[in-house]
Amino acid sequence: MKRFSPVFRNLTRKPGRTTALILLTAFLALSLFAGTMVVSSLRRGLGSMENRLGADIIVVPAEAESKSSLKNMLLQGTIGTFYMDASAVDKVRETEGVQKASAQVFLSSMKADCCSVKVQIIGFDPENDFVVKPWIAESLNRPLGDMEIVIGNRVATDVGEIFRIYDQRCLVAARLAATGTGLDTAVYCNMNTMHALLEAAEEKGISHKIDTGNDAEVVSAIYVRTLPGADVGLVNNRLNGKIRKATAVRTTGMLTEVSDSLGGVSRTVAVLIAAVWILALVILFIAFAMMVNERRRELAVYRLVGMSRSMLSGMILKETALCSLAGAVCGVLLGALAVFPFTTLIETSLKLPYLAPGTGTVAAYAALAIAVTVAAGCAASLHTASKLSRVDPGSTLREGA
Amino acid sequence: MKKNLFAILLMIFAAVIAVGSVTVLGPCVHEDGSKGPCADAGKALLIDGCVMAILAILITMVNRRGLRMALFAAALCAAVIGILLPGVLMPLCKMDTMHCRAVMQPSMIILSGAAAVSALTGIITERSRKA
Amino acid sequence: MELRAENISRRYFRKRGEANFFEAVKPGSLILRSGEMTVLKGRSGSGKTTLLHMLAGLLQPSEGRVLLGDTDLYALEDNQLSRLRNEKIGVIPQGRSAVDTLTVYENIVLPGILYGGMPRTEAAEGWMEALDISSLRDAMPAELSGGELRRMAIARTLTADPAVILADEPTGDLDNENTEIVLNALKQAAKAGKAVLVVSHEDDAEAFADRVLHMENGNLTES
Repeated sequence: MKRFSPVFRNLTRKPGRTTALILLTAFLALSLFAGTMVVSSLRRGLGSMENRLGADIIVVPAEAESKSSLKNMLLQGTIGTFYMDASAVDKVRETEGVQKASAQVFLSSMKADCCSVKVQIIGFDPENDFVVKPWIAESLNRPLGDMEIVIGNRVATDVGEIFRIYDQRCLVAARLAATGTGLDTAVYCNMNTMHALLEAAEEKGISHKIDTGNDAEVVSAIYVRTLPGADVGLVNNRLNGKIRKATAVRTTGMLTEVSDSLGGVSRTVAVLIAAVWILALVILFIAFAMMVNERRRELAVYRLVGMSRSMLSGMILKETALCSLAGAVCGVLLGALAVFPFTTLIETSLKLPYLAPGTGTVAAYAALAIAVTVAAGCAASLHTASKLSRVDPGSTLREGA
Repeated sequence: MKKNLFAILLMIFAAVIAVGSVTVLGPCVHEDGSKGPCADAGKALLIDGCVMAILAILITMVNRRGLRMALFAAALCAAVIGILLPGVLMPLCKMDTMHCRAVMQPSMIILSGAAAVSALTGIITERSRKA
Repeated sequence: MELRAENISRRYFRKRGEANFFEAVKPGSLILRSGEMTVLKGRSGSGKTTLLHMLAGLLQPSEGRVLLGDTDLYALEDNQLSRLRNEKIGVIPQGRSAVDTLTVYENIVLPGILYGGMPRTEAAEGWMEALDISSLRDAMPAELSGGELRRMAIARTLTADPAVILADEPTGDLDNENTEIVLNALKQAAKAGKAVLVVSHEDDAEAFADRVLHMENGNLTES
């Protein structure tokens, strides 16, 4: 007969006790891992939104309920189609304190064009653009040609395919990296393509004309970068005073709002994690405390046959560590199963930018969650271990003899 | 009960797949009531879930080891089909934010995966069971 | 190897912090020699078990020392004393003394594997046979009767092959036949060179004794 480990025997021959411990610790690890994943994805989403916005001020038509409409478009991919006279672009450029200004035109595809869903089409001016171009350059190392489009990360079409918009055939030239924002569901084209699409839309009866009555060129938003050192607030006020029927919005305001809601969600998640942990740790502690009485006699026998106090504490800690490790690994796996496949669902429910961290970060968080859970499990049993190791074997074995 | 543990688990997963595919875990329904291209995938999942559930019920009713293993194997195939159905064997809508991609696809893959694991464990336990 | 108790006593305070105490074991000395089976007799509550626990290194005497060879048990650190008990002192306590998650066989070989040794399979099987519990090899303690558990504890101690065996009412739960088997086994162990102390309030053990001690109200006397 081979050697056997009392630790493994204790675990396998008390399956109820072991399963309960594993379940409890799995619960701890699940909440910790899933919670930190959600919060760190939100942080990364906000960072990515900051990077992608790239402008200090955005000028949009006043009737577009400016701020919320643009914010919804950026965050949730809600389609925004609002227009103003293109002459505003020059007025913006002439404004004191403005370094660069770049216009974009928004159009919505018809549902039928792209199989199942409307898509936000964003036309940009390659000559003046400083917002979209650097981003596109990450996936496409040449200028975007006419009737070519670049698709957001979540548009499920492949590069090289033809994407029909208002019966116009557009070639998908590249797919952008994920941003975790509403921009992931948009497609991008240059102004020539946009003009062709606007005309095609016009033929289908979808008007983008503004009520000036003439055929003036239109834009939907003007992205502004201020001169270094310029007071952005002041420039914003100047723009608001100068351009009629349009509103200038500071992007920091928008980002602050997002960051505030993110703070709210983070706090909620933190409170939830704390609640789960307090509950589970209390249960763990009680379970261990109950174990003291249940196992007194058994551990007195171990002392009787020559196990030292430190060996006894070590044995209990080893049992707990093994259970917690198994539980923590299960919990992290369950957490991953709950969070990663449902990224989109979480993002659309929270209405906040959400970008899952890279594999390395995820692995680090998983390892951390496992380590913290095992440590918590062992800490909860520490008191019990030390109490049991001080059991007086003589009197314990006399009790109820 | 112990003998049919994995058949019962399989039955539960199959039932969730079948019921889910026509309720909360189903394909997209547009505001105007029209259906997207994912509707067919939803129907296929309903059928697949029903097939798995029937197989699971049959497993609980028969006692012959070989037959039980064959039924488990058939359920395993159905589960693998369930994993591949949304997106691979049948098209879904073309935007990740659509319900069929955000909810139906991941949940059906997880549920079918769980069903596959149950069926596979069922086969393994049948193999080790004394005839 | 002999176990020597020099002038040991054990006092218990009735109320904390007050001088109102009683002496469970009054100062006395005792030598357990190898090759000798000593029987300690006395009524219930006379202090026999307290004395046995002090001899086993499980209960520190209020005064005096306990020496195994030249080693003072209570001068040792807990891990040294535990190791010494594992190797040299076998204790058969009153009542149940089984690890419930181990089989009968595993309980019997447990002392041998605690410090990394291999299970003493042959010895274990020999003693199980001698004590008539071979058929219970793979049973769990919960399935055993009191008498079977007692024989298991005796087999565990004998398998560990210690220099000193301290048995507390080893025949308490046993019928006549098994009482004889157990006392014979302990006598054999004494003949094999071990120092054996059997605590008992019954007369059966006396016939096997090389020496009989009496305990009355904490006082130890030799007859």
